[in-house]
Amino acid sequence: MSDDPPVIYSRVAHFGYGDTRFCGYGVRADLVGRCGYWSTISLALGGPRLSRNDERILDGLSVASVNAEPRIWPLRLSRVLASEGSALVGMAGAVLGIEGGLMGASAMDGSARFLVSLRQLAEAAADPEEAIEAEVLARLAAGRRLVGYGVPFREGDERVLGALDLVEVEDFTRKPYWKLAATVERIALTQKITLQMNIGAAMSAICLDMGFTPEQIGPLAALLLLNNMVANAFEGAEQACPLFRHMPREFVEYQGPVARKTPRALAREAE
Amino acid sequence: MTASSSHREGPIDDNDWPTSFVSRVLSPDGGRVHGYDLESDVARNYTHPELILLALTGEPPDAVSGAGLDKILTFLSVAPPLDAPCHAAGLSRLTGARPAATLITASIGLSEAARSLLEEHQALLGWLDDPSGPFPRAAQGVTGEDRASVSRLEVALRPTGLSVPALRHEPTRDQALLASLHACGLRRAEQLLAVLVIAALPTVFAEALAVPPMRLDTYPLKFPEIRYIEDEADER
Repeated sequence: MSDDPPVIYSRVAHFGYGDTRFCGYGVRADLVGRCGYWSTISLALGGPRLSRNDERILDGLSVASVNAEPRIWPLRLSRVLASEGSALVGMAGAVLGIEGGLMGASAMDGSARFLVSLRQLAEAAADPEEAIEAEVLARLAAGRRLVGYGVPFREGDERVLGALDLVEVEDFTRKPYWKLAATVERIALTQKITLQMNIGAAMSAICLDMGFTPEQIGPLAALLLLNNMVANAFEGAEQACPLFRHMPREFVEYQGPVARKTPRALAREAE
Repeated sequence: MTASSSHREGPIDDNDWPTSFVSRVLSPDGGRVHGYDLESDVARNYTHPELILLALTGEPPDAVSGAGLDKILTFLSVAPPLDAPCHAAGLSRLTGARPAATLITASIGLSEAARSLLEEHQALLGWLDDPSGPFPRAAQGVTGEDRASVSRLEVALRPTGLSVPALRHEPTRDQALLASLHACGLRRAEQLLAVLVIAALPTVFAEALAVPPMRLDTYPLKFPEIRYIEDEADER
């Protein structure tokens, strides 16, 4: 093992006098008043400083994807965790609590990876359209989820409609990942009518077309969707709802094993 | 803001949903786990490590498994203070966070470390379920420290009667402990994940609590060096 002390290299920041460097820029010298929040997030994710237009797209996506319905599961989670009075715990806990699953930021991450792998498959194929169709149909036949597709209980994902308002104005619908996502939807709908694109695929496609990678899209999506968590965590902490801290027992249906005694308890009784 | 008295339509409002919550392990009052009364039965007749086995497997363990887990939990509570869970929890405490936030941080760190450990040992977990093939050797080899610790584990387990066949294959310390948990009846990754976190949480949290809050001058900010670079020249 070398005797040299370990050095970790970072492109993130240096705390200086009078100004701080951040991802290659002086915060006061180059960023304040010259770029917005989403640029700093893009830089933080190892991406470029964004144009004002791209910042506007991400702003718009964050707004279009708002569905802060308190009753749906991740936001319910946020409220339950916040019920002891801490909004921060509710926010952070809800983001962490659904990590790796099929909702929220993890769904965006999964959807982005799916679209990237599909594009790679298509680019390597002699007949890209046939390859895409075969892959999508094979996944569905094998019972695998198409991450980013599926809109239960209604005819379409209202958040996608909002995102479409954005991207049609910006001409995103001509871009490769949006076109791919739309192709997957067309194929999926021949198999099952509820397999429309949801905000997962829409947001992933837009972010991929903006140049973000799947690795960047997971954390980016968490921030894009955070307004939903914040709303429920903040109100949840304010209300500190006793029902969420201690749900009355009469609301619980027990489906586990019947009441029974352990072998040692039975042995004691037999003595 | 006035509350609307009119019905609002939507996918939740217009569809049927269950009208009760379901519990599958704990009774509605929390007093029974898998049907066994915690206060009048389990507390009288079983140790806490045995309760852990009962909770995670669904059935009361035998005395050998319980006694074995008791020893294994202590070995699993070994937590180097500069491993990520303890380091992160200590930083939380240092910033003046509430103890609950420090405990959350410790739990996150331990869960991530446990997840990573289990991913690294996929081959071992497969072998434990089906030991017909060769014992999977650890990529980094077995160190002297591994051998010494595994020897101490064997000594600790001997009075319990717990048989851990993998210990005959010169495992690393981590392999030995995972195999020992498997021998206690913990076969699924989720069960192992829980025990890995439960075991180390007290020691990790204790170390974190010993950090003086807001004594920022006690933390070596410049070690290891984190060197900011903007271009290749900065790396030289």
